[in-house]
Amino acid sequence: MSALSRILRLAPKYQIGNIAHKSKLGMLQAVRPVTYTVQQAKPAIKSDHDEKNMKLNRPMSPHLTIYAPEIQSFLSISHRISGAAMVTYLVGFGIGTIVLPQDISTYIAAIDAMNLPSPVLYTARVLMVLPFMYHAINGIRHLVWDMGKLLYIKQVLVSGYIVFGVALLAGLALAME
Amino acid sequence: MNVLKLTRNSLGLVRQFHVSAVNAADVQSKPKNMKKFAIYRWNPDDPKTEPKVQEYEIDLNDCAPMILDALIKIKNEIDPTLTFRRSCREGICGSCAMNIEGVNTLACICKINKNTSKTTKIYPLPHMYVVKDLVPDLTHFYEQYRSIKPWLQRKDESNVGKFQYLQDVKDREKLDGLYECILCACCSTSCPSYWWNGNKYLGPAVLMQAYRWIIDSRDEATKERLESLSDAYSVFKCHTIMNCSRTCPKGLNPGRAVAEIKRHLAGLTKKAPPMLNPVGLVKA
Repeated sequence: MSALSRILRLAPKYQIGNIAHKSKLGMLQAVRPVTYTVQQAKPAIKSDHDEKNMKLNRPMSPHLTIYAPEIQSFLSISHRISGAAMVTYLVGFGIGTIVLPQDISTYIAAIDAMNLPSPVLYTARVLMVLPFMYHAINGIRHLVWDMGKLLYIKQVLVSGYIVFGVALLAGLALAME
Repeated sequence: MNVLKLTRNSLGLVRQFHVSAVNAADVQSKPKNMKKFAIYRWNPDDPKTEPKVQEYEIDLNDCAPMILDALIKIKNEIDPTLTFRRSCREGICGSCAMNIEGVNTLACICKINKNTSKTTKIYPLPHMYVVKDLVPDLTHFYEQYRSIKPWLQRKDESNVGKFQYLQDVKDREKLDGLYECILCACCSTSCPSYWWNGNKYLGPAVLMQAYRWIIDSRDEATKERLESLSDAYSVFKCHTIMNCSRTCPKGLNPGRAVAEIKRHLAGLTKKAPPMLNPVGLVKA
């Protein structure tokens, strides 16, 4: 009884109205039967992560410009750049053989005839041979990784320095006349 | 008497202020040793202004040794609007992950560089949406973690909780170096592949946890786990750059875990059968 009277006191007067005062049913007059139906839970509406953040005007935190230059990431991007350089040479020379009227020996002779200073020629040769040397040797490092070896960070760094050093020396040596 | 009842426990409720571990007398006897910190700021209440880098100068002789101590000192004494996450102050919660002097790490276990001629730069974790100042939105990162189902899966789960699953000590050892991850997101946000393909590539932290469940001798969903990763992006956007393993503040090796998943996906290696029958106790 005490619980019911408490509910009665909590209920706003206007809901109970006159009926509550007159009859002895009291609060029960004002009680409305409610039926609950079971429904499948709706999946929470997930707005796209990017969409939500852009709507909030949130900036993207700086990345490439602020991250410390480190040997492992430098060697990785070098691998890609040297690969891209080789493709450029391959496609370039390939198109050259189709499009140009004379064959390549004519053009080599022409460059010879220009009497370019030897440092320029040497640099050009290094640019031709170094991408190949580096990409090939670092490619072996990648194959070793794919075998599940040399994957601890110390080994990664040491093998990285070795690969870069060997490739550089080999490239410089091969570019000599 | 009632008043006493009301004030019961109130001492414990008084908000604790961070007290630096530096002796006050020591500070007065030493000369000032000022160091500059350049910290990334962005305020969401002022969304039209661009993010900026703000400089603060504090006395290192009056500051405990870690970057987090410096941040708390700045917040307490110079600029209370500076916002960052922190909790455990001992490298186990992963809240204070940020980019300090170009490298992702936990502010609480990263010592302040004593070289006062150099300004220490502090940014939020790279390539993340910024909620405020040094606080990034990690929702997507956690969502990716959820996607790998990071829990033990058995084919028959009717007896869950009735007995322990057995695991040989040797099998358990395979989880060492994997289970310690605190999901601070330092590795994932150091990974250029994750920067450019973060929506589809899962990133080193999540993949290391995927691997942790793939090789668990008690888990039976290995095939399904591997199948769910066998697209061109989830795992294979990893190009073995190894920024992840270099930056992990817990000294773990997510790069190796990703490489091992690739080997599983390529069929170069297979999960060994459990050395102890995980349901060996069911009959007993």
